[in-house]
Order: sequence, then C-alpha cells, then structure tokens
Amino acid sequence: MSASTRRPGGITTANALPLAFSWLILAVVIVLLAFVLYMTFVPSLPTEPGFTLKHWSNVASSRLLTRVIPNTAIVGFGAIFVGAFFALPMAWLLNRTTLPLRATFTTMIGITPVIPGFILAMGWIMLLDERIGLLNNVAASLLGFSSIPLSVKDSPWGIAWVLGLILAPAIFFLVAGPLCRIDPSLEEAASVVGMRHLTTLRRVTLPLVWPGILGGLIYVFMTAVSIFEIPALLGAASGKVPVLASEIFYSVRPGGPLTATFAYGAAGVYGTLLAAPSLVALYVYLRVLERTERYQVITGKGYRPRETDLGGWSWIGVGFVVLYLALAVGLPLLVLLWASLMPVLQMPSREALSKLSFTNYDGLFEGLGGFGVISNTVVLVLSVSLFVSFFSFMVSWVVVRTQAQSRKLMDMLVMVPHAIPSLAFAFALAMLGILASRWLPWLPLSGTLGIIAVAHVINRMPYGTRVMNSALAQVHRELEECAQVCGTKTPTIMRTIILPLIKPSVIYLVVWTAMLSFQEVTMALFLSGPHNNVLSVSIWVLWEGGNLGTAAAGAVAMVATTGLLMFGILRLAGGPTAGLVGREVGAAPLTKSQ
Amino acid sequence: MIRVKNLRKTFLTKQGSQAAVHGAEFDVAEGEIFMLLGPSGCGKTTTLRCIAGLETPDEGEIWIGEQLVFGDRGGTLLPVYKRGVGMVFQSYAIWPHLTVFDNVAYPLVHGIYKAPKREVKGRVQKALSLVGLERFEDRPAPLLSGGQQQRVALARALVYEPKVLLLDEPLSNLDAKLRAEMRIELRALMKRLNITAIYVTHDQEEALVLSDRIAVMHAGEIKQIGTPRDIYVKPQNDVVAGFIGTANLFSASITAVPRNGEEGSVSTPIGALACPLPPSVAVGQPVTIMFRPEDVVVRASQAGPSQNSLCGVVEQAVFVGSRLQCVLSVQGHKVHCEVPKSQLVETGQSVVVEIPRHAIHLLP
Ligand SMILES: Nc1ncnc2c1ncn2[C@@H]1O[C@H](COP(=O)(O)OP(=O)(O)O)[C@@H](O)[C@H]1O
Ligand SMILES: [Mg+2]
Repeated sequence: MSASTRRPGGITTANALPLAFSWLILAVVIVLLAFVLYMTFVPSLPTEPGFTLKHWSNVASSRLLTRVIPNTAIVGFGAIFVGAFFALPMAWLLNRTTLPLRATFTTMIGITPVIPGFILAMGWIMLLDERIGLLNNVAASLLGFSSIPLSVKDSPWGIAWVLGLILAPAIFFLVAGPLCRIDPSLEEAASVVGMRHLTTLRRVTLPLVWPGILGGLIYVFMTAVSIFEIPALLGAASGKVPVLASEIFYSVRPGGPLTATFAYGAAGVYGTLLAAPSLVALYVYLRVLERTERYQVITGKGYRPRETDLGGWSWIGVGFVVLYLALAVGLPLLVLLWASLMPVLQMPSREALSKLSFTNYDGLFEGLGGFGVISNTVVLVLSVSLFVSFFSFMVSWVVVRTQAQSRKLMDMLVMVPHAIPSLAFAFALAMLGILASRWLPWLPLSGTLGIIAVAHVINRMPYGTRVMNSALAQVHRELEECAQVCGTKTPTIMRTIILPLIKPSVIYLVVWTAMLSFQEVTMALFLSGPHNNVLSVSIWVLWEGGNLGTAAAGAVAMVATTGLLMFGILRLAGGPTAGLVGREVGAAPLTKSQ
Repeated sequence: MIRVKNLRKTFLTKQGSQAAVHGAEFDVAEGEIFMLLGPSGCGKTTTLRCIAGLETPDEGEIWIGEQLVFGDRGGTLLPVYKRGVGMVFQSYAIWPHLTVFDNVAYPLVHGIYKAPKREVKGRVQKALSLVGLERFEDRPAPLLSGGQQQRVALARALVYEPKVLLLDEPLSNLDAKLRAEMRIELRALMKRLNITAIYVTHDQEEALVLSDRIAVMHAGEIKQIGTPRDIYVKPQNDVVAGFIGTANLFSASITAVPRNGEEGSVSTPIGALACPLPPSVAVGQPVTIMFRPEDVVVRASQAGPSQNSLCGVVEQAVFVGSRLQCVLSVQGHKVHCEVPKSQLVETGQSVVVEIPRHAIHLLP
C-alpha cells in the first residue's frame, strides 16, 4: 500500500476524473464566449490582421435603431405578454384549484416543448394569413367579406403571438414551482393577522415568488429574441420584419435578401448585445435566489398547498386550458395534417375531401434528402443525448458530491449557456469552424455533424445538470461512502452504485435531450453545410422553398415520430421514468436543486 | 492498533467556521472495543469519519496498525478504499438495488478486497451466518426490517475480514428491546472475532455494556478516557459525571483534612458532609463533590446516630418499575435519589437522607 502525498484538504484522486471532465466542458463554454467578444474587434476573419472599433460604432446605424431593435423588443415583450396571458391563469388553475384532470393537463403542457416550434409556426401561417389562412377564409365567408386582412406573417406582433403560444409552457412551470412551494401556513398566518386576500397576495405571496418569476421571465424573453427560425418563417427571411436573430444569421450566412456580404464583426456585436443583458440578469437572479433560500421562506416538501374549490366555475377553467392547448398545439397540427393530405391547400369541404391523397408523402423521403438526412439525424440525436448525460453527470457529481472548492463556480458556469442565446454560441462555433478549416485542416468542424452536436450539447448542459443535481442529491451520501470503505474507487462506484440508483432520471434525461435535439433548428440551420442536414433543417428548407405540401407532410411525420418514440421509450423504461415527465419537465429551468 | 494524535477538524459553513473536533487524542489496543460517547453534535461521527478517511482532518496524525494513514506533516493522506477498515454507517447504507447476497458480496466482487469467484459464495454465507441471516440471501434489500438491515450492514463490513471495525451508532435505529439484545450479541461477536473496534454512540447504557474503554466527548473535545467502571465511579469532571448516569453535583469547600485517623469533611449547600479526601487538599479549597442517586439512602425517620444524615422533603417520586426515582429538596437544593419499590414514598413527605461517605466522590 502506498500513501498518496497530497496536501490535506486538497483534491484527492477520487475526484480527479469528474473534475477533469467538468472543466473540459466548461472550458469550451468559456472559450466560445470569449471568442464572440473577440470577433467584434477584428475587421473580418481573425486570420486577417488588424483591430477595429467600427463594428461597435456601426451599432448606431439608423436601420438597427429604427427597425431591428424595435422589432426585437416587440417580439420579446409581446411573446411574454401572450405567454403570460395563457400561462398565469393556467398555473393557478392547475396548481391551486380543484380543477378536474389537472395531472393530465399538466403533463400535456409539459410535453408540448417536444413539438418543434417552427412546425407550429407553419401551422399558424396556414391558419392565419390574409391569402391562404383557413381561419381568415372561414371568418370571411361567415361575415361576407372577400378577405380578412389579419395575418401572423410580416408583422412583429404575429411573431410575438406564435412565440408566446410556444413559450407559455416555460412560463407556466416557472410560476407553478413557486406557487406550489409557498408554504400555505405563511399565507394563513397573513390572513389571521387580518390581511385581506389581495393584500396577502401583494405583501406576502409575491415577495416570496418574484425572484423566481423574474428570472424566468428574463429567460423567456431571451429565448424569444434569440430564436431564428420562427421569425424567419414569419417575415424576417423576406426582410420585412428584421430582428436581431435574423441579422446575426444573415450576417454570417448571406443569401438573405438584405446582406449580400459576410459581416462577422457585426454578427459578433449583435451576439454580444443579446448575451450581455441576460448574463447580468442571470447573475442577479442567482444572488437573489441564494438570499431567499437563506430565509427559508419556501419550504421543501411534505404538505399540500391550499386549493380553491371552483365549484360550478370549473368548466370555464377547463375550457381555458383546452383553448390554450387547441391554439398552441391542436389547431396548428390539425391544419398541417390537412395540408399534408391536400395537393393544394384549400378549405375543408366535400369537394376537398374527394381530393384527399398521400401524394405529398410519396415524395417525402427524397424531398427531405433521403437516407443521408435520416442517418445524420439519428447520429446527432443519439450522440447529443449521450454526451449531455455524461457531462451533466460529471459536473453534477463535482457539484453535489465533492467538497471541491470550485464547485460553486462550476455550478454557476454551467448555467451560462442558459443565459447566452443559442444563436450566439452557434455563431462562435461557426467562426471557429471557419478558422479551423484554415489553420487545422485535419480537424473537421465546419459543415460537419460534430459541430452541430457540440452546439446542442452546450445548449442542453444547464438543463442536464439540473436534472442530475436533483437525482444525485437524492442518493444518500453514505451509500457511496460505504462503497469507498468497501475498497472500491470512484469510477467503479459510479457504475455499480450511483448509476443504477438514478437510472430513471438518466433515462428521462436521455429521452428528453434526444427529443429536444431532434426538433432544434436555429443552431442546426446556422451550422448546416451540404453534408450535415438533419430532418428539422430539411423540413424548414422545404417550406422556405415553397413546397408547403411536402413540408407539411414532413412535419406530420416528424411529430408522429416524436410522439411514438417518446411514448415507446417511456413505456419500456417503466413507471419511475414516466413519472418524471411532467414533474421534471417543468422543473423551473433556473431553480437550484440543492 | 489505532492511534489518533491531536486530531482537529473545522467545518466552514455559511454561518462561519465550526470546530467539530479539536485536539482529540487516543490509542486503541488490538482486540479492544473502544467507545466514543457524547451528546449529539459533539464530533463523534466526524472523528470516526476522519479515521475512515471520509473527512480530511485539518491537523493531527492517524495511524492504523503500523501505517500512517493521515499526517499533517509530510502531507500523507491514504485514500479511503486503501485503509482496510470495515464500517457500519448510521443509516446502514444498504444499497437498495441489490439483494442481501449482492450487498454482502460487493466488497469481494469489486475493488481491492476482490476474491476469487469460487470463494465468494462461501465467504458471504459465512458472514451472513455470523449475523444470523443465513436464509435471507435472495431477499431484495428494501424488504428488510431495521434489525435485519443492521445485520446486513455488519455482515458486509465483516466479509472482507478487516482488522478494524468502525461503527457509527449502529443500534440507534432499533427499538429499545431489540437494542438491548443486540448490544450483548454484538459484543460477543466482536470478542469472538477479536476485532479492534471504534464504536460511536450517544447512549451511555450502550457504552457501559459494550465497551472495553470509553472516551467521553463534549463539544469536540475528549473529556475522559477510561474503563466503564472508572468513568462511572470516578468521573474526572462535571461534564463526564453529568453525562454518564444521573449525578448529584455540588460545589463545596474543604473544612477539615484527614489527619490522625480523623476523616476529612466538606461544607456544601446541603450541609456538612464527611468524605474521603486525598492528602493533597487544603482547608478552604473549593471543590466539587458528586454522588450517585442509587447510593443515597432514604428513611422515613432517623434510625439511630449516623453520619452524613440530612433532612429533606420529597418533591417528586416517579415509579419506573424496578424502583422509584425521587427528587428531594434538601436545604432548598435538589437531590436525586433512588428508592427500592417496596419502600413507600409520597410527595410532600419529610424524610431523612443519608449519603454514605464512600459514595461521595471528589472531582479534581
Ligand atoms: N459536513 C459538515 N459541514 C458542516 N458542519 C458539519 C459537517 N459535519 C458535521 N458538522 C458539524 O460538526 C459538529 C459535529 O458533528 P458530528 O461529528 O456529526 O456530531 P455527532 O456525530 O457527535 O453527533 C456538529 O456541530 C455538526 O453540525
Ligand atoms: Mg453522529
């Protein structure tokens, strides 16, 4: 036996492995961030010499100030407004009242994020458009007008409406968490003291939950303004409604109607503009969270919040939730299904029914890009979910299981991709790819599946570590220590003790990550080349190319695949994993789990 | 076999630093059952975890056998899995995804105590029969009762035949009756295997029954080390006296030192008492005296002349089955005592209290 010689209190060999992997993934995050900033000071590509501030001075350009930033603001705030309009009443209805079918509704809201947002946007174009919109046509024929000039396309308000519907689940779960966890005894105490209901809400309930809600709303705002593909479908691609996200995209991938040349520096500036406020917000939010935790106002478990009995009003509540689900999921998917079965989109009628056919599906396989795209998608989805699970496990191990001094810092750093718009990361990666192709020709990055995988992995790390943190925190420390005393080293303990114990959470994380990687478009499109197209990108490209019928067929096929896979895997994995859906899905993305 | 020198461990928490153990020092001989006894939060578990290697001390030295496993000078730190100790955790740490057999076999299948495949089954069975669980091999661990889990944890700690066994309150999750049985069984087993054990408990009765030697801990410090009898009869300070059993403690001053066959005496708040005194004391010196409730004799009235007799009133009398536990008021001070169950004592009754002079112990 040999004694290892290390300073007492230092890092023992047992933690070296998880620490190394954790720093590896975090180093990638830090390098990419620094790179975005660096790009804003070089004239063009970093391969060329020079230093310039002109990208920053260009921010004051009139186009940006008069069109892009106002549009982006409308999209961001509008989406929050629409989302909150649906999410806040639903959060209260499904968590603090005796509404029937609450669990089912919560699960349904929980799984809507696996339905690709751009597919829902496609559905909404078919629903609400002055020329082809089915809702417009129905309303016009009922009211006797020739057309209804209302459209989700070509207006920032239309983008805000669709994004709001898509992001409502995020707001729902952000609010539901604190709503469930407020200790009812606090509220009761307040009402005993004689505060009236509204006063209680204002003076007691809100101060307890606002940090969580505020942080969440910032997150939703940042998500809304950094999604590219939905604004692009709804008017940014045609140049009618430019937003920051589309500016970045077309600066790096010219071909849009506006910029004919590369403008990397400008894209870097836009990326920084998107990233800086949310980083500050994340920091403030984490600090506030720490303080509230110290006061222990929100207690953990072991009681049920007080529930209001709606009595005869229940059906209105149910109606509201059903209305949301119909608007956000039901109608868009139905109209896509209908469109996929029609040679040319038209109103449902007896005549239309006679034209029902599967012709759109016939050309689907080739239209999407054939076997190459399918295999790309499978490889991407599998590798992303495996890597995310692996790295999340390692980071959470360090954070939850060790006394390493860096663990607090690590827990914060791994949340950074949550605040940085995915587009900024995609941008940095695209730049690195271009550089690598010049400097390190042997390193295949640009235009490969690998670069998309890296982007997806980084993007999903914050969520992965939240799931793993709470899973690991539930494994009693002594279960692991006992194995150490029994003579086994950390890697063996992870394999034989920890992983079997947290299996449901791991399966859940793998499935959920795979689903979200499957439907992601913004980064995959940004980083796409001739050989690394995935399914979601192909559908998007089909739609942009005007093949609405085939695109609709592809969308239906994609949603069906998602549904089947999710259902099948969760059935196979059994009860404990399935039970996590709806609970974990909703775990507020920013809440710390210890 | 185990030597701990000047062990210090401080935890840094949000509220500041918390000295969990400071300056603990003891030796455990081979085959000895050594008890760490003290109230909750006094640093027993921390001390044990430092020995196992699960915590890194700030200062001190720890030897197991001939090997230095931790030393602040030279920065030696032997990782947990190489220390060759067996440990029973307070939570038992039974792995819920494994059967009883797999739990016990784990050290022989993975890690550094790995045994040849053909030996595993036999050794696991032997360990299970030591703790009386032969027929439970295939039982999934979550389906065991508390007592059975405790036995599995013990079998798992013994299966690789460690020289040193560390136990952290292994009986605290059991009900009172089972606990009393297990104490005796556990001691017999450890003596049969001649294993060196450090045993942590907050239960003084358990400590007295089970151990060869006891270290009483308080607020991170070891207050006294000695045999159970020494600790009970000759506590070195009021903390130890107060923690082990019930003690009557009074501050006193010496009024006469023993000389020419005459006895020494002290004056106390409850009256003057004659008692044995060491020769080193001087008149007027302040001291603390201690006597145990079971040594106090209570009578209804004065029966002839006797030494150390005081008058008192019964304030409280509680029947606990084998005897009555009483609180008397003597000169306005409370005196705890025990009375045989045959004797009738009522609240409010005036009694005569006799404290035999050899029952009185002077705390240094
Ligand atoms: N990991 C830890 N972090 C901070 N403080 C701790 C930790 N472990 C123990 N302590 C503190 O150290 C003191 C001693 O704890 P412990 O050794 O568990 O006591 P015992 O086992 O005697 O009940 C306690 O005050 C406890 O709060
Ligand atoms: Mg303890």
